[in-house]
Amino acid sequence: MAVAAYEQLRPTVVRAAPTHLEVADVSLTYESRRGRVPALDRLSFDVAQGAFVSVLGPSGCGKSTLLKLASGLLRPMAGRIRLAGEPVTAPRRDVGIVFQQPTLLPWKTVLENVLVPIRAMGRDASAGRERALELLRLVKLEPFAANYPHELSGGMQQRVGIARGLIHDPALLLMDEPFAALDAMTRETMMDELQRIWMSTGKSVLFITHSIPEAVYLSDRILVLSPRPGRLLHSVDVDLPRPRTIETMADPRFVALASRLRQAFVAMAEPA
Amino acid sequence: MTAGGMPRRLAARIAGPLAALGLTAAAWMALKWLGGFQDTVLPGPGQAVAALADGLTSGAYWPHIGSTLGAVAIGYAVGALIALGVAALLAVSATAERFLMVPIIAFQSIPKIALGPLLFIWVGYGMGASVTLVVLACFYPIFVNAFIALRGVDPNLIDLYRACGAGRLRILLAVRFPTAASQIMTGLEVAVVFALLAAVVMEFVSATSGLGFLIQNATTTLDTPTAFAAIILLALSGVLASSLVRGARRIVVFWETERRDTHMEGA
Repeated sequence: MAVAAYEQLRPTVVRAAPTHLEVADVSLTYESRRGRVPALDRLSFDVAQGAFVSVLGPSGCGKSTLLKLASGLLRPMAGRIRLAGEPVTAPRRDVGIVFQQPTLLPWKTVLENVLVPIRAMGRDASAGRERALELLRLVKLEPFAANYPHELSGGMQQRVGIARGLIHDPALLLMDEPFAALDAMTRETMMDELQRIWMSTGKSVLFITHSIPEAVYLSDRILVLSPRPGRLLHSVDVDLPRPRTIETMADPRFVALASRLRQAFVAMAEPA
Repeated sequence: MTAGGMPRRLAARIAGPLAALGLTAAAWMALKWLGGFQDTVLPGPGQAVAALADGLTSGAYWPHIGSTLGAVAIGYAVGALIALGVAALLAVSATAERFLMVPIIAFQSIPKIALGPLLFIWVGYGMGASVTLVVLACFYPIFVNAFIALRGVDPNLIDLYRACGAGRLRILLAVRFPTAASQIMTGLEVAVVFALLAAVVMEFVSATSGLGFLIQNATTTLDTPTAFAAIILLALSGVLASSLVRGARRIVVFWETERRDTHMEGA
Protein backbone atom coordinates (compact mmCIF):
# COMPACT_ATOMS: atom_id res chain seq x y z
CA MET A 1 0.00 0.00 0.00
CA ALA A 2 2.90 2.32 0.76
CA VAL A 3 4.19 1.74 -2.75
CA ALA A 4 1.00 3.09 -4.24
CA ALA A 5 1.14 6.14 -2.02
CA TYR A 6 4.49 7.25 -3.42
CA GLU A 7 4.48 8.14 -7.04
CA GLN A 8 7.78 8.95 -8.66
CA LEU A 9 9.18 12.27 -7.55
CA ARG A 10 10.27 13.07 -11.08
CA PRO A 11 9.34 11.55 -14.41
CA THR A 12 12.03 9.20 -15.67
CA VAL A 13 14.00 10.65 -18.56
CA VAL A 14 13.98 8.34 -21.55
CA ARG A 15 17.53 7.27 -22.19
CA ALA A 16 19.15 6.34 -25.46
CA ALA A 17 21.69 4.02 -23.83
CA PRO A 18 20.77 0.31 -23.78
CA THR A 19 19.99 -1.47 -20.54
CA HIS A 20 23.05 -2.93 -18.87
CA LEU A 21 21.68 -4.41 -15.68
CA GLU A 22 18.07 -5.44 -15.52
CA VAL A 23 16.49 -6.37 -12.20
CA ALA A 24 12.92 -7.57 -12.68
CA ASP A 25 10.52 -8.55 -9.91
CA VAL A 26 13.31 -9.86 -7.72
CA SER A 27 12.44 -11.23 -4.29
CA LEU A 28 14.72 -12.91 -1.81
CA THR A 29 14.04 -14.27 1.66
CA TYR A 30 16.75 -15.49 4.00
CA GLU A 31 15.99 -18.70 5.86
CA SER A 32 17.48 -18.64 9.31
CA ARG A 33 17.02 -20.59 12.51
CA ARG A 34 14.84 -17.81 13.86
CA GLY A 35 12.58 -17.89 10.86
CA ARG A 36 12.28 -16.32 7.45
CA VAL A 37 13.70 -12.86 6.94
CA PRO A 38 12.49 -11.24 3.74
CA ALA A 39 15.29 -9.08 2.31
CA LEU A 40 13.94 -7.91 -1.05
CA ASP A 41 10.36 -7.76 -2.25
CA ARG A 42 9.51 -7.64 -5.97
CA LEU A 43 12.26 -5.19 -6.78
CA SER A 44 12.52 -3.93 -10.35
CA PHE A 45 14.86 -1.41 -11.93
CA ASP A 46 17.31 -0.98 -14.79
CA VAL A 47 20.79 0.42 -15.00
CA ALA A 48 21.53 1.90 -18.42
CA GLN A 49 24.88 1.37 -20.08
CA GLY A 50 27.42 3.77 -18.55
CA ALA A 51 24.94 5.17 -16.01
CA PHE A 52 25.65 5.93 -12.40
CA VAL A 53 22.76 4.61 -10.33
CA SER A 54 22.59 4.88 -6.55
CA VAL A 55 20.52 2.76 -4.23
CA LEU A 56 19.51 4.77 -1.21
CA GLY A 57 17.84 3.19 1.74
CA PRO A 58 17.81 2.76 5.51
CA SER A 59 20.00 0.14 7.15
CA GLY A 60 18.76 -3.36 6.58
CA CYS A 61 16.82 -2.67 3.40
CA GLY A 62 18.63 -5.45 1.59
CA LYS A 63 21.11 -3.21 -0.20
CA SER A 64 24.02 -5.58 0.23
CA THR A 65 21.82 -8.49 -0.83
CA LEU A 66 21.15 -6.60 -4.02
CA LEU A 67 24.88 -6.41 -4.76
CA LYS A 68 25.32 -10.12 -4.19
CA LEU A 69 22.45 -10.79 -6.55
CA ALA A 70 23.84 -8.50 -9.23
CA SER A 71 27.26 -10.14 -9.04
CA GLY A 72 25.78 -13.64 -9.16
CA LEU A 73 26.96 -14.61 -5.66
CA LEU A 74 23.32 -15.16 -4.70
CA ARG A 75 20.37 -16.35 -6.78
CA PRO A 76 16.98 -14.65 -6.41
CA MET A 77 14.06 -16.78 -5.20
CA ALA A 78 11.77 -15.05 -7.64
CA GLY A 79 12.23 -12.68 -10.52
CA ARG A 80 15.20 -12.39 -12.85
CA ILE A 81 18.44 -10.52 -13.22
CA ARG A 82 20.07 -9.91 -16.57
CA LEU A 83 23.46 -8.45 -17.20
CA ALA A 84 24.21 -7.26 -20.73
CA GLY A 85 21.17 -9.25 -21.85
CA GLU A 86 22.28 -12.55 -20.29
CA PRO A 87 20.66 -14.03 -17.19
CA VAL A 88 22.95 -13.97 -14.14
CA THR A 89 23.13 -17.55 -12.85
CA ALA A 90 26.68 -17.78 -11.46
CA PRO A 91 29.42 -15.36 -10.31
CA ARG A 92 30.11 -12.96 -13.17
CA ARG A 93 33.59 -11.85 -14.09
CA ASP A 94 32.41 -8.75 -15.94
CA VAL A 95 31.48 -7.23 -12.59
CA GLY A 96 33.81 -5.39 -10.22
CA ILE A 97 33.07 -5.09 -6.51
CA VAL A 98 34.13 -2.40 -4.03
CA PHE A 99 33.24 -2.94 -0.37
CA GLN A 100 32.58 -0.65 2.55
CA GLN A 101 35.89 -1.67 4.07
CA PRO A 102 38.92 -1.69 1.78
CA THR A 103 39.34 -5.47 2.51
CA LEU A 104 42.90 -5.46 1.22
CA LEU A 105 45.33 -8.29 1.84
CA PRO A 106 47.85 -6.97 4.40
CA TRP A 107 50.66 -9.22 3.17
CA LYS A 108 50.49 -7.94 -0.39
CA THR A 109 51.78 -4.65 -1.76
CA VAL A 110 49.37 -2.08 -3.17
CA LEU A 111 50.18 -3.24 -6.70
CA GLU A 112 49.67 -6.89 -5.81
CA ASN A 113 46.37 -6.05 -4.12
CA VAL A 114 45.12 -4.41 -7.29
CA LEU A 115 46.02 -7.62 -9.14
CA VAL A 116 44.05 -9.87 -6.74
CA PRO A 117 41.02 -10.42 -9.05
CA ILE A 118 43.35 -11.44 -11.89
CA ARG A 119 45.01 -14.03 -9.66
CA ALA A 120 41.67 -15.16 -8.26
CA MET A 121 40.63 -15.91 -11.83
CA GLY A 122 43.71 -18.05 -12.16
CA ARG A 123 45.15 -15.80 -14.84
CA ASP A 124 48.74 -14.69 -15.23
CA ALA A 125 49.11 -11.55 -13.14
CA SER A 126 52.24 -10.30 -14.90
CA ALA A 127 50.13 -9.41 -17.93
CA GLY A 128 47.99 -7.16 -15.73
CA ARG A 129 50.84 -5.18 -14.18
CA GLU A 130 50.77 -2.42 -16.76
CA ARG A 131 47.06 -1.98 -16.34
CA ALA A 132 47.37 -2.09 -12.55
CA LEU A 133 49.92 0.73 -12.65
CA GLU A 134 47.66 2.66 -15.00
CA LEU A 135 44.75 2.26 -12.56
CA LEU A 136 46.96 3.31 -9.65
CA ARG A 137 47.76 6.41 -11.67
CA LEU A 138 44.02 6.92 -12.14
CA VAL A 139 43.40 6.77 -8.39
CA LYS A 140 46.55 8.85 -7.82
CA LEU A 141 48.43 6.17 -5.93
CA GLU A 142 51.14 5.26 -8.41
CA PRO A 143 53.98 6.30 -6.06
CA PHE A 144 52.63 3.84 -3.48
CA ALA A 145 52.59 0.76 -5.70
CA ALA A 146 55.30 -0.95 -3.66
CA ASN A 147 53.90 0.03 -0.25
CA TYR A 148 51.84 -2.18 2.02
CA PRO A 149 48.23 -1.34 2.91
CA HIS A 150 49.03 -0.57 6.56
CA GLU A 151 51.28 2.25 5.37
CA LEU A 152 48.30 3.98 3.70
CA SER A 153 45.50 6.12 5.11
CA GLY A 154 41.89 4.89 5.05
CA GLY A 155 41.02 7.00 2.01
CA MET A 156 44.07 5.74 0.14
CA GLN A 157 43.23 2.14 1.00
CA GLN A 158 39.72 2.64 -0.32
CA ARG A 159 41.16 4.01 -3.57
CA VAL A 160 43.25 0.84 -3.87
CA GLY A 161 39.97 -1.04 -3.47
CA ILE A 162 38.47 0.93 -6.36
CA ALA A 163 41.49 0.25 -8.58
CA ARG A 164 41.17 -3.44 -7.68
CA GLY A 165 37.50 -3.37 -8.64
CA LEU A 166 38.45 -2.08 -12.08
CA ILE A 167 41.49 -4.28 -12.81
CA HIS A 168 39.72 -6.92 -14.89
CA ASP A 169 37.96 -4.20 -16.88
CA PRO A 170 34.43 -5.04 -15.70
CA ALA A 171 31.60 -3.32 -17.51
CA LEU A 172 29.69 -2.87 -14.26
CA LEU A 173 31.09 -1.66 -10.97
CA LEU A 174 29.17 -2.57 -7.81
CA MET A 175 29.97 -0.37 -4.82
CA ASP A 176 28.69 -1.16 -1.33
CA GLU A 177 28.84 2.06 0.72
CA PRO A 178 32.48 2.50 -0.23
CA PHE A 179 32.93 5.76 1.66
CA ALA A 180 30.88 4.99 4.75
CA ALA A 181 33.93 4.18 6.85
CA LEU A 182 35.79 7.38 5.94
CA ASP A 183 35.83 10.70 7.75
CA ALA A 184 33.75 13.58 6.33
CA MET A 185 36.64 15.42 4.67
CA THR A 186 38.01 12.32 2.98
CA ARG A 187 34.50 11.41 1.88
CA GLU A 188 34.06 14.63 -0.07
CA THR A 189 37.39 14.20 -1.80
CA MET A 190 36.52 10.61 -2.61
CA MET A 191 33.15 11.61 -4.09
CA ASP A 192 35.01 13.93 -6.41
CA GLU A 193 37.57 11.26 -7.24
CA LEU A 194 34.91 8.67 -7.98
CA GLN A 195 33.07 11.05 -10.30
CA ARG A 196 36.32 11.72 -12.18
CA ILE A 197 37.15 7.98 -12.38
CA TRP A 198 33.64 7.12 -13.52
CA MET A 199 33.63 9.87 -16.16
CA SER A 200 36.99 8.74 -17.51
CA THR A 201 36.18 5.01 -17.63
CA GLY A 202 32.56 5.03 -18.78
CA LYS A 203 31.59 2.08 -16.56
CA SER A 204 28.07 1.49 -15.36
CA VAL A 205 27.98 1.88 -11.59
CA LEU A 206 25.52 0.55 -9.04
CA PHE A 207 26.34 2.53 -5.93
CA ILE A 208 24.88 1.65 -2.55
CA THR A 209 24.79 4.37 0.06
CA HIS A 210 22.77 5.80 2.88
CA SER A 211 24.10 9.31 2.38
CA ILE A 212 21.67 11.57 0.53
CA PRO A 213 24.23 14.22 -0.55
CA GLU A 214 26.55 11.48 -1.77
CA ALA A 215 23.78 9.95 -3.87
CA VAL A 216 22.69 13.29 -5.36
CA TYR A 217 26.25 14.38 -6.06
CA LEU A 218 27.24 11.22 -7.91
CA SER A 219 24.14 9.77 -9.53
CA ASP A 220 22.26 9.91 -12.79
CA ARG A 221 19.46 8.19 -11.00
CA ILE A 222 18.63 7.44 -7.39
CA LEU A 223 16.54 4.46 -6.31
CA VAL A 224 14.99 4.79 -2.87
CA LEU A 225 14.27 1.50 -1.11
CA SER A 226 11.94 0.89 1.81
CA PRO A 227 13.07 -0.70 5.08
CA ARG A 228 13.30 -4.48 5.06
CA PRO A 229 12.03 -6.08 2.96
CA GLY A 230 13.47 -3.70 0.40
CA ARG A 231 10.92 -2.44 -2.12
CA LEU A 232 11.37 0.34 -4.64
CA LEU A 233 9.71 3.47 -3.29
CA HIS A 234 11.05 6.12 -5.65
CA SER A 235 13.16 6.38 -8.73
CA VAL A 236 14.60 9.87 -9.07
CA ASP A 237 16.59 11.19 -12.02
CA VAL A 238 19.31 13.70 -11.28
CA ASP A 239 20.03 15.88 -14.29
CA LEU A 240 22.48 18.31 -12.72
CA PRO A 241 25.31 19.11 -15.14
CA ARG A 242 28.64 17.30 -14.92
CA PRO A 243 31.23 17.46 -13.66
CA ARG A 244 29.61 18.32 -10.39
CA THR A 245 31.68 20.28 -7.92
CA ILE A 246 31.49 21.67 -4.41
CA GLU A 247 29.50 24.56 -5.91
CA THR A 248 26.94 22.10 -7.24
CA MET A 249 26.10 21.23 -3.65
CA ALA A 250 24.95 24.82 -3.16
CA ASP A 251 22.88 24.76 -6.37
CA PRO A 252 19.18 25.28 -5.51
CA ARG A 253 18.26 22.21 -7.57
CA PHE A 254 20.73 20.11 -5.60
CA VAL A 255 19.40 21.44 -2.31
CA ALA A 256 15.77 20.94 -3.35
CA LEU A 257 16.39 17.36 -4.46
CA ALA A 258 18.31 16.48 -1.32
CA SER A 259 15.57 17.93 0.82
CA ARG A 260 12.85 16.03 -1.07
CA LEU A 261 14.75 12.80 -0.59
CA ARG A 262 15.16 13.58 3.07
CA GLN A 263 11.41 14.11 3.38
CA ALA A 264 10.84 10.76 1.72
CA PHE A 265 13.09 9.22 4.38
CA VAL A 266 11.23 10.94 7.18
CA ALA A 267 7.89 9.74 5.79
CA MET A 268 9.32 6.22 5.64
CA ALA A 269 10.41 6.35 9.27
CA GLU A 270 6.93 7.35 10.45
CA PRO A 271 4.81 4.45 11.62
CA ALA A 272 2.09 3.56 9.12
CA MET B 1 68.28 6.04 15.95
CA THR B 2 71.15 7.38 18.08
CA ALA B 3 74.67 5.95 17.87
CA GLY B 4 74.43 4.30 21.28
CA GLY B 5 70.89 3.05 20.62
CA MET B 6 71.63 -0.52 19.66
CA PRO B 7 73.84 -1.57 22.62
CA ARG B 8 71.59 0.23 25.04
CA ARG B 9 68.52 -1.47 23.66
CA LEU B 10 70.23 -4.85 23.82
CA ALA B 11 71.32 -4.18 27.40
CA ALA B 12 67.78 -3.23 28.30
CA ARG B 13 66.47 -6.46 26.79
CA ILE B 14 68.94 -8.59 28.72
CA ALA B 15 68.71 -6.71 32.00
CA GLY B 16 65.15 -7.87 32.76
CA PRO B 17 65.69 -11.61 32.38
CA LEU B 18 69.06 -11.35 34.21
CA ALA B 19 67.45 -9.60 37.16
CA ALA B 20 64.68 -12.23 37.24
CA LEU B 21 67.31 -14.97 37.17
CA GLY B 22 69.21 -13.36 40.04
CA LEU B 23 66.05 -13.00 42.11
CA THR B 24 65.15 -16.65 41.49
CA ALA B 25 68.57 -17.78 42.65
CA ALA B 26 68.31 -15.57 45.73
CA ALA B 27 64.84 -16.89 46.58
CA TRP B 28 66.08 -20.44 46.03
CA MET B 29 68.96 -19.93 48.47
CA ALA B 30 66.72 -18.22 51.00
CA LEU B 31 64.25 -21.12 50.84
CA LYS B 32 67.01 -23.67 51.34
CA TRP B 33 68.46 -21.70 54.27
CA LEU B 34 65.12 -20.93 55.95
CA GLY B 35 63.80 -24.45 55.54
CA GLY B 36 67.07 -26.01 56.57
CA PHE B 37 66.85 -28.44 53.66
CA GLN B 38 69.64 -30.93 53.13
CA ASP B 39 71.47 -31.02 49.81
CA THR B 40 69.81 -34.29 48.81
CA VAL B 41 66.39 -32.75 49.29
CA LEU B 42 67.05 -29.32 47.86
CA PRO B 43 70.48 -28.56 46.48
CA GLY B 44 71.62 -24.94 46.23
CA PRO B 45 71.61 -23.18 42.88
CA GLY B 46 75.44 -23.36 42.92
CA GLN B 47 75.38 -27.15 43.13
CA ALA B 48 72.80 -27.40 40.35
CA VAL B 49 74.85 -25.15 38.09
CA ALA B 50 78.00 -27.12 38.95
CA ALA B 51 76.24 -30.38 38.03
CA LEU B 52 75.03 -28.76 34.82
CA ALA B 53 78.52 -27.54 33.87
CA ASP B 54 79.96 -30.93 34.67
CA GLY B 55 77.34 -32.81 32.66
CA LEU B 56 77.77 -30.54 29.67
CA THR B 57 81.57 -30.55 29.62
CA SER B 58 81.84 -34.29 30.20
CA GLY B 59 79.36 -34.81 27.39
CA ALA B 60 77.09 -36.95 29.59
CA TYR B 61 74.01 -34.73 29.04
CA TRP B 62 74.20 -34.23 25.31
CA PRO B 63 72.55 -37.52 24.24
CA HIS B 64 69.70 -36.76 26.67
CA ILE B 65 69.30 -33.25 25.32
CA GLY B 66 69.42 -34.65 21.80
CA SER B 67 66.74 -37.26 22.32
CA THR B 68 64.33 -34.93 24.14
CA LEU B 69 64.69 -32.14 21.61
CA GLY B 70 64.59 -34.65 18.77
CA ALA B 71 61.31 -36.13 20.00
CA VAL B 72 59.92 -32.64 20.54
CA ALA B 73 60.96 -31.42 17.08
CA ILE B 74 59.65 -34.44 15.18
CA GLY B 75 56.44 -34.76 17.20
CA TYR B 76 55.79 -31.03 16.97
CA ALA B 77 56.29 -30.93 13.22
CA VAL B 78 54.09 -33.97 12.60
CA GLY B 79 51.44 -32.75 15.05
CA ALA B 80 51.38 -29.31 13.46
CA LEU B 81 51.00 -30.73 9.95
CA ILE B 82 48.12 -32.98 10.99
CA ALA B 83 46.44 -30.21 12.98
CA LEU B 84 46.70 -27.69 10.12
CA GLY B 85 45.46 -30.26 7.61
CA VAL B 86 42.43 -31.19 9.72
CA ALA B 87 41.70 -27.52 10.47
CA ALA B 88 41.80 -26.70 6.75
CA LEU B 89 39.49 -29.60 5.92
CA LEU B 90 36.97 -28.60 8.58
CA ALA B 91 37.16 -24.93 7.65
CA VAL B 92 36.14 -25.51 4.03
CA SER B 93 33.79 -28.46 4.43
CA ALA B 94 30.67 -28.30 6.56
CA THR B 95 30.26 -32.06 6.12
CA ALA B 96 33.72 -32.73 7.53
CA GLU B 97 32.94 -30.43 10.42
CA ARG B 98 29.71 -32.29 11.20
CA PHE B 99 31.50 -35.62 11.33
CA LEU B 100 34.78 -34.69 12.97
CA MET B 101 34.11 -31.85 15.39
CA VAL B 102 32.56 -33.98 18.16
CA PRO B 103 35.27 -36.68 18.07
CA ILE B 104 37.93 -33.97 18.16
CA ILE B 105 36.40 -32.27 21.18
CA ALA B 106 35.97 -35.64 22.89
CA PHE B 107 39.61 -36.39 22.21
CA GLN B 108 40.61 -33.01 23.58
CA SER B 109 38.79 -33.82 26.85
CA ILE B 110 41.22 -36.66 27.54
CA PRO B 111 44.34 -35.52 29.37
CA LYS B 112 46.90 -36.66 26.81
CA ILE B 113 49.39 -37.46 29.55
CA ALA B 114 47.04 -40.18 30.80
CA LEU B 115 47.76 -42.01 27.56
CA GLY B 116 51.48 -42.29 28.45
CA PRO B 117 51.37 -45.75 30.10
CA LEU B 118 49.21 -47.09 27.25
CA LEU B 119 51.62 -45.75 24.67
CA PHE B 120 54.35 -47.59 26.52
CA ILE B 121 52.41 -50.81 25.99
CA TRP B 122 51.71 -50.04 22.35
CA VAL B 123 54.93 -48.43 21.20
CA GLY B 124 57.40 -49.67 23.84
CA TYR B 125 60.68 -48.18 24.94
CA GLY B 126 62.37 -45.40 23.06
CA MET B 127 61.72 -42.27 21.15
CA GLY B 128 58.69 -43.52 19.20
CA ALA B 129 56.44 -43.29 22.25
CA SER B 130 57.67 -39.79 23.08
CA VAL B 131 57.12 -38.61 19.54
CA THR B 132 53.60 -40.06 19.56
CA LEU B 133 52.64 -38.34 22.79
CA VAL B 134 54.10 -35.05 21.55
CA VAL B 135 51.99 -35.33 18.38
CA LEU B 136 48.85 -35.91 20.46
CA ALA B 137 49.65 -33.08 22.87
CA CYS B 138 50.41 -30.55 20.11
CA PHE B 139 47.36 -31.30 18.02
CA TYR B 140 44.57 -29.45 19.77
CA PRO B 141 46.08 -26.01 20.47
CA ILE B 142 47.32 -25.79 16.89
CA PHE B 143 44.09 -27.19 15.45
CA VAL B 144 41.68 -25.01 17.37
CA ASN B 145 43.51 -21.75 16.68
CA ALA B 146 43.91 -22.59 13.01
CA PHE B 147 40.29 -23.69 12.63
CA ILE B 148 38.83 -20.58 14.23
CA ALA B 149 41.09 -18.29 12.21
CA LEU B 150 40.52 -20.11 8.91
CA ARG B 151 36.79 -19.83 9.48
CA GLY B 152 36.90 -16.22 10.64
CA VAL B 153 38.09 -14.73 7.37
CA ASP B 154 36.25 -11.58 6.22
CA PRO B 155 33.31 -12.90 4.15
CA ASN B 156 33.69 -9.98 1.74
CA LEU B 157 37.17 -11.16 0.87
CA ILE B 158 35.82 -14.64 0.19
CA ASP B 159 33.04 -13.10 -1.94
CA LEU B 160 35.59 -11.12 -3.92
CA TYR B 161 37.43 -14.32 -4.79
CA ARG B 162 34.22 -16.24 -5.46
CA ALA B 163 32.98 -13.48 -7.74
CA CYS B 164 36.15 -14.00 -9.78
CA GLY B 165 35.38 -17.70 -10.06
CA ALA B 166 37.96 -18.90 -7.49
CA GLY B 167 37.29 -22.32 -5.97
CA ARG B 168 37.58 -23.46 -2.36
CA LEU B 169 41.18 -24.62 -2.66
CA ARG B 170 42.40 -21.37 -4.18
CA ILE B 171 40.52 -19.40 -1.52
CA LEU B 172 42.00 -21.64 1.18
CA LEU B 173 45.56 -21.10 0.01
CA ALA B 174 45.37 -17.51 -1.20
CA VAL B 175 43.09 -16.00 1.44
CA ARG B 176 42.32 -18.21 4.42
CA PHE B 177 45.80 -19.40 5.34
CA PRO B 178 47.57 -16.03 5.03
CA THR B 179 44.76 -14.28 6.91
CA ALA B 180 44.87 -16.94 9.62
CA ALA B 181 48.66 -16.90 9.86
CA SER B 182 48.80 -14.74 12.94
CA GLN B 183 46.47 -16.88 15.00
CA ILE B 184 48.06 -20.06 13.66
CA MET B 185 51.35 -18.76 15.01
CA THR B 186 49.68 -18.26 18.39
CA GLY B 187 48.61 -21.90 18.39
CA LEU B 188 52.11 -22.98 17.41
CA GLU B 189 53.54 -20.94 20.27
CA VAL B 190 51.21 -22.49 22.84
CA ALA B 191 51.93 -25.97 21.50
CA VAL B 192 55.67 -25.66 22.14
CA VAL B 193 55.10 -25.89 25.87
CA PHE B 194 52.73 -28.85 25.48
CA ALA B 195 55.30 -30.60 23.32
CA LEU B 196 58.06 -30.33 25.92
CA LEU B 197 55.71 -31.43 28.67
CA ALA B 198 54.58 -34.48 26.71
CA ALA B 199 58.13 -35.48 25.83
CA VAL B 200 59.30 -35.34 29.44
CA VAL B 201 56.28 -37.22 30.78
CA MET B 202 56.74 -39.99 28.22
CA GLU B 203 60.41 -40.19 29.15
CA PHE B 204 59.42 -40.71 32.77
CA VAL B 205 57.38 -43.70 31.67
CA SER B 206 59.23 -45.43 28.93
CA ALA B 207 62.46 -43.84 27.81
CA THR B 208 66.03 -44.96 28.06
CA SER B 209 67.36 -41.48 27.43
CA GLY B 210 66.17 -37.89 27.43
CA LEU B 211 65.95 -35.17 30.04
CA GLY B 212 62.86 -36.73 31.61
CA PHE B 213 64.72 -40.00 31.90
CA LEU B 214 67.68 -38.12 33.42
CA ILE B 215 65.44 -36.58 36.09
CA GLN B 216 63.79 -39.92 36.84
CA ASN B 217 67.13 -41.68 37.05
CA ALA B 218 68.83 -39.01 39.17
CA THR B 219 66.04 -38.83 41.74
CA THR B 220 66.07 -42.61 42.33
CA THR B 221 69.70 -42.24 43.39
CA LEU B 222 68.99 -39.01 45.32
CA ASP B 223 71.24 -37.15 42.90
CA THR B 224 69.09 -34.04 43.11
CA PRO B 225 71.68 -31.61 41.67
CA THR B 226 71.54 -33.58 38.40
CA ALA B 227 67.72 -33.50 38.46
CA PHE B 228 67.86 -29.74 38.88
CA ALA B 229 70.42 -29.44 36.11
CA ALA B 230 68.01 -31.30 33.81
CA ILE B 231 65.16 -29.04 34.89
CA ILE B 232 67.29 -25.98 34.09
CA LEU B 233 67.99 -27.48 30.66
CA LEU B 234 64.25 -28.01 30.10
CA ALA B 235 63.50 -24.43 31.07
CA LEU B 236 66.20 -23.20 28.68
CA SER B 237 64.80 -25.41 25.89
CA GLY B 238 61.35 -23.97 26.48
CA VAL B 239 62.63 -20.41 26.28
CA LEU B 240 64.69 -21.18 23.19
CA ALA B 241 61.87 -22.99 21.36
CA SER B 242 59.34 -20.28 22.19
CA SER B 243 61.62 -17.53 20.97
CA LEU B 244 62.23 -19.49 17.77
CA VAL B 245 58.48 -19.57 17.13
CA ARG B 246 58.15 -15.91 18.04
CA GLY B 247 60.98 -15.08 15.68
CA ALA B 248 59.25 -17.04 12.94
CA ARG B 249 56.10 -15.07 13.67
CA ARG B 250 57.86 -11.75 13.07
CA ILE B 251 58.89 -13.01 9.64
CA VAL B 252 55.69 -14.80 8.67
CA VAL B 253 53.25 -12.12 9.83
CA PHE B 254 55.57 -9.23 9.04
CA TRP B 255 52.74 -6.79 8.36
CA GLU B 256 51.46 -7.12 11.92
CA THR B 257 54.74 -6.37 13.61
CA GLU B 258 55.31 -3.43 11.29
CA ARG B 259 51.84 -2.09 11.88
CA ARG B 260 52.42 -2.19 15.63
CA ASP B 261 55.74 -0.41 15.21
CA THR B 262 54.20 2.27 13.03
CA HIS B 263 51.51 2.85 15.62
CA MET B 264 54.03 3.08 18.42
CA GLU B 265 56.05 5.64 16.50
CA GLY B 266 52.88 7.56 15.76
CA ALA B 267 51.86 7.64 19.41
